[in-house]
Parts: sequence; structure tokens; C-alpha cells
Amino acid sequence: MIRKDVEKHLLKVQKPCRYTGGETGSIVKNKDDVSIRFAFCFPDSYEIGMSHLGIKLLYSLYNNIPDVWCERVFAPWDDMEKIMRENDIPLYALESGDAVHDFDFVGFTLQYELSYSNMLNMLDLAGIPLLAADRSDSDSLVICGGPCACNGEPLADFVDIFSLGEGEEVSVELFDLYREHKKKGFVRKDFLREAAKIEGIYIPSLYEVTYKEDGTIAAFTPTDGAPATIRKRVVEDFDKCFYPENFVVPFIEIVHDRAVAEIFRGCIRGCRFCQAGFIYRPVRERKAGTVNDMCRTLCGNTGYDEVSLSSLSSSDYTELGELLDKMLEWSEKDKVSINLPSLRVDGFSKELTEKLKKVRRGGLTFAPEAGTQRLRDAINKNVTERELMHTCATAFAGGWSSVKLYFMLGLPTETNEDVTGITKLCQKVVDLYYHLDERPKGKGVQVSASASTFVPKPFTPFQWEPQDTKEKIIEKQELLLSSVTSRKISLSWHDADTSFLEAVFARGDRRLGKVLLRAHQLGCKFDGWMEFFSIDKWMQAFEDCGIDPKFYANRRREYDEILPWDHLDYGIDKKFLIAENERSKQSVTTPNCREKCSGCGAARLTGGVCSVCR
Amino acid sequence: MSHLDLVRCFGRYLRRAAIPFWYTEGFNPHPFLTFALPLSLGTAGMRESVDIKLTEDMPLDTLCERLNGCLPEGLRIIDAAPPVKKATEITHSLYRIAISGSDDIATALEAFLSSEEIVTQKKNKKKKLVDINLKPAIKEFSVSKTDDGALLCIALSSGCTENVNPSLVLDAFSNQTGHALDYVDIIRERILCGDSGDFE
Repeated sequence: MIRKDVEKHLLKVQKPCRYTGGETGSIVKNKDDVSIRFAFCFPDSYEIGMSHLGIKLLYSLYNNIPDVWCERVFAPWDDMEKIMRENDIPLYALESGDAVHDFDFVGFTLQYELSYSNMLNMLDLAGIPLLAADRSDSDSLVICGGPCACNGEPLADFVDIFSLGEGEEVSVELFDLYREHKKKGFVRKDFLREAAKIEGIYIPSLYEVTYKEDGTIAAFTPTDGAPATIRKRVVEDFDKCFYPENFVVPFIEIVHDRAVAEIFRGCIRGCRFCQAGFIYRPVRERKAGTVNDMCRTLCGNTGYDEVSLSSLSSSDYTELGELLDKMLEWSEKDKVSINLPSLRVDGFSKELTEKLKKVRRGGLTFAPEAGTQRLRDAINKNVTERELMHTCATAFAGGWSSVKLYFMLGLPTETNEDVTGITKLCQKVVDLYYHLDERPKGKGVQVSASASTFVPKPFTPFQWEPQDTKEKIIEKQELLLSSVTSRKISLSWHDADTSFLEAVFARGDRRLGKVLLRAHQLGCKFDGWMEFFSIDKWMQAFEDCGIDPKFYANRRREYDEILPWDHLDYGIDKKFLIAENERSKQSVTTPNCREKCSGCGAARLTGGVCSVCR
Repeated sequence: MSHLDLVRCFGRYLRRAAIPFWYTEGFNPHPFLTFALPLSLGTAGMRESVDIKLTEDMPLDTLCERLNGCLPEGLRIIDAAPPVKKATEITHSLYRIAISGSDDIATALEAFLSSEEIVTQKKNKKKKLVDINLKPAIKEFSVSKTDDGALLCIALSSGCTENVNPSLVLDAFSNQTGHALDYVDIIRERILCGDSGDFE
């Protein structure tokens, strides 16, 4: 429902449909019939947030509960924010148009560190006290989940509840408790204390942190009966796990404007830089039949003519061939195209190419991540140059003439030779093309290499590693750029400043809360967007708070240091991560979960590959 | 919603409703849809027209019913019929425009629209600004005073040969008389043909 006070300003802003609601698939309930109102906030633009699978999933799941009404909220673009602030329009939810501060729960999904400033700005626009300590019994409960919740410490001052791991089951339990408390008269403190007893719920205000003189953590102490460690939640039977039958389909074009089906969760690989590869363990698959039905239902209900099969590494799906066969039976007739992202270099067979050709001839993207075999071994990206060449040869023979290759700069143990190795590898792909008889006729080859900056993340074997300094990264970027001599190779890279900020907050602690607050006051928002990001404002915020960001980004931690996320249990043992870090220094690889269990600890979470392979 | 967004969404609504409609053939098939007159972003339309081509016959009221079940709020199928007129027969459209502004805005607008010649600038197809006279495009109009401004009913040239957007007229009015338009709500009531009958 469009708010009257919003409607008259809509023609003054870009893409008014960001602010109207009313899309097909959106769910409108009668507010008098519901007892829990949940504002699901995505701290980025409508187009980014609407592309996110998690929000679609939980939106549908929550709204399936009769007395819960979940609505969507996105960060207004700055033109709209200005109008809202000038006209005293509070942040509102798209379905009802009601002000977010009247909701029982205000949930944020934390997908990347650079959206933290937007979360604060949205709370501010909503008129909700920024600091959790300032909120009264009548204020909304601010709850956060998503991958960044695995170290939400920099947000501890602003968040009432963190939900760790997969939210499907835990939120239902939390709603049950909330109903109970509402019935007997809601007292915030009592509710939070009780909520802390639910597995997967972390209440930051119930913990005290003390620091040593050198700035590292001295102790992390639970109070009020809160558990010493909090374990993430996992869905055991993924095949039977809830999946939406319909999506909200936007009026305007969004980043991923298509139906999506999740084929499995987790990843068997254990690449040492990849947080998702560890925090979503264990790997759990959906059956091909289930996925096929999901895709068909979703396309029918949404009207989408494109469906994407989502996972961390599509070619590791054991039933991929079977699934594609099933889907091709109806997709061609229904004019639905199938999109298969996240293909691995070693999983690209001729047979798969044949099927993919029928499916869609989009770009091909592979991620060797590093330029030399030594470094690929060190990061446990178990891909060889021979496999990459073989894959590219198959693809070129299959009619493709361009490939995109992803690399990272600043990986632990990286040398200049590894950096120039990226160019050498790209050149070999170019040469391969011209030596291939079956290459597409009359077409040149294009290799696009993208080099992002490595950001060490919690719960990975590299969680103790320093990030390269900005100077070092820029040096490496320049070295890489100067080593490219062919016009068949195009190169792009990430801004070093945003990667630095990401590194600070990824492994930050509670003391960063005041920096965030200061940065918000200085006007920081949409930090993931180059037109808004200002490193100067951020550096000012660090300086104003007397905090050295390099302490977080560029410092090597000792194995025995208490890390800000040590009290959270994501199923991965610290001693496993230490062993992996040591193996990395020797460039020794670790087999994937299906070849051999390496005893990471996730088996205690039960479900998926752990119960099959052991 | 912009015209292009509407076209994209409309294809999806047809798919949701499982209407057997024709896709363009070729490398990248897409739904074949023709809207008679694109609507500008922010303008409401009370009776618009879109052509689709069916691949198999179906009763037209079933089509309307099924499609209406799949449309978002604010979008309704009024009627479906075999094409009667060609899009080239469209000559003008009827708009109803609510304007909020100062007290004297109705009088000023009346005077402005009654002048012999209304010259303003418009970008031509080569993206060059050229002077055009809007007066011949205004087929008829009436202005009345309302509580917060004025209500303008105006018939403007539309179609393939000459097409004048009401906001062009309003912008000309605002720029040339200095009257600020606080808020404008434009509704296209009807699309008409030379014989003043509705486009069908």
C-alpha cells in the first residue's frame, strides 16, 4: 500500500517502484489478525536486497505462520532519504506502509560488512534508538542474522539478538517465546534472558568483555545465566526443508531477476580463504526430483522465464546430470532458460557442456583464485592448470569464445611470482584458443581476469593472518597490470580501501561500535557503492574514537589469542583451523569432504555429507 | 512503473496465467506484446490497449478471468477482443489532470491554454532542441478550480504521427508563467481515434 505522504514525492525520485510495494507475490495481511509483525530489512538498495535468496525464503516461511506478518524494508536511495527526512516520513515497510518502529521485530540480514553503516542509517530513519541499551520495553527488538553474524561483535552495541546459522527453525521457536512473553506483559530484559536459552540465539548484552593492555581480549564472560558458547543452528534434513513456492516479483529490473532454487547448502571443498565453505558446513543436498519440482512450481507461480540453480559450487552437486535431464524435459517447451552459476574448473565435462548448450549460452566464469600451482595448493583450491586448460578447451570447442577468471591478490604466502603467474595463466588460455582446431570460426578470444583483494575472515584457516597493507596491495595491482601485454586479456580489480574496511570489520570486536556510530554521524552509508564510499570519513571516525584500524586488518594474531568470535560455535574446531593454517604454509592440500573426512568438527552438527561419508 | 518495466512484467503475468501466447522466433525468443500507446512513468491509464497473439484459441472471457487472477493491484483487464482498429488510427487521448498549486492557478492555466500560440522546446529524434507550437495538438480542454488548485481535462494529439505528452504542456505553462506546480496527478482516461470512438 502506497503511503499518501510518499505518493506525491514519487515522481521526484529515481525508480519510484522501489518504494511502492504491491508487487505480485507480496503478502498483505490484516494487521488486526496478526500478533507478531516482523520488518525484514536488507541494508542495501531495493535491487540488491530483492535479489537475495535468504529474504525470499524467510519472508515466505514467516508469512506461512498465520499470526505473523513479515514485510520487506530496504535502504532508501539518497534522493528518497532526503525527501523522507525533509517531510518527516519514517522508514516504512513496503506491504503495509506502516512505520518500522511499530513492529515487534526489526530484522537485518548481514551479508557484507560494508552494509553496517546502512543498518545504522535505517534504524535512525525508523526512529528506533540506535543503541540497544537505550531501547525501552515498547521499542522494537532488533535481530540480526546472515553470514556476518558469525562475528557480529562490531554491531554488539546496536543489536538485541543475533541468530546464528540457518534461521528456518530457530525463528519459529523465538516467535513462540515472544508470544508467551507478550501475553504475560513484555519485559525486554526478561525476554532476552529467556531467548538466550534457545540454541542458536546469541544475546550480546549478556556478555562482558575485558581487554589486555596490548589491546587483545582478556576474557569474555557470560552473565545472567547465558551460555558460555553459542552453537549455530543447522537444518538437518535439507531435502525436506521449507522452500517458497512463490517469490515477490518486482516491477523494476533487479540484479538477479529470476527464479532461484537452492540445490545444496555448504561446500565440500574447504578452500582456506572461503568463509562460506566453513560456516555452512556440513554439505547437505536436495534431491534432483525435489529441485525439479521446486523450479517448475516457482516458474509457474512467478512467471519468470529463467531459473538459476544456486549453491556454492554447482558442479559438486551429485545429481546435476539427472537434474538437468529432468528440467530439460519441460524447460524448452515452457521457454524457461536454466542458469548454472558457480561452476568449478574440474567439474566441467563434455557431457555437461552439451547440456549447458541447450540450456543457455551465457558467459563462462571460473575461479582459479591464484596464478601458480604452489599458491593454489596453499589455499587448498584443488584445481590444476591442466584441469583449467582442459576445461577451457572443452568450452572453446563447445562454441564459447570468452571466459572470465577470478583471482585474489594478497593471499597468505603470496610472492611477486604468484602475481605475475596470473597473467601467465591467462596468456596460456589465450594461446590454447589459437592452437585449437575446433575453436569458433572467425572470432577472437577474450579472457577477462578479475583480481579482488583477499580479506581474512573468521572461522577460516586464515583467520589469524594479516591483510596486506594498502601500499602493498596497490604495488601488487600495478605489478599485475604491467605484466599484461596482450589485448586479449582484460583486467579489473577491487578498490583497496573498501577491502581494508571490510577486513577491519570482519575480524573486529565490540570497540568498533563507537567507530560505526561516529561514521554514521559523519554521513557514511552505502559503503559498497563507490559513489558514496569515503575512506576519508572512515579514517576520521577511527581517529575521533582513538582506534587504529590496522590493529584489526593488518596484524598477525597468535594461535592462543582470544578472538572476538571464539565463544561462537560454528561446528569448526579451532585446532582443525590451526592445522589447516600450518598445512597452508607447507603448500599441502586437504582432501574434500567426499574423498575423506578431515575431522573439522562439523560432524557433531549432524546431517549431510558427514553422516554419509563417515 | 516505466513502459519497459510494464512490458517485461506483462509477459510474466501472461505466463503466470498460462495464456498460450506467441513468442518472437529467433535467437532470443521473447513474448510478443504491443502496447498501443506507451504511458509515461507516473501517469495512470484507465483504458489502455495491448495486443497479444495467441497460439491456440481460447474463449476471451476465460482469458480475461485467468489474467485478472494473476495481475497485481492496480492493473485490470477490462475487455479482450479481436483487433478492430489499427494503431495508426489513434489520433488523440483524453487526460484528466489534478494540479495542486496557488489559488489563481486555474485562471492562469485557462488563460495560458487559450492563447493563440504555445511555443515550447522539445528534443527531436536527433536529440536536438527544436521549437514547436503545442496549440494545434490541443484538441479541446476545460479547466475548473479545486480546493488545492485546478482540474484540467484536456484532449491531446496522440499516436504515431504526432504525440504530445501532457507534462510537456504543463512544463511549458510552469516555465512560461512562473507558476509552481506542487503536485500533478495525470490520468489518461481514453485513447481515441479520428471518429472520436475508443481505440479497440
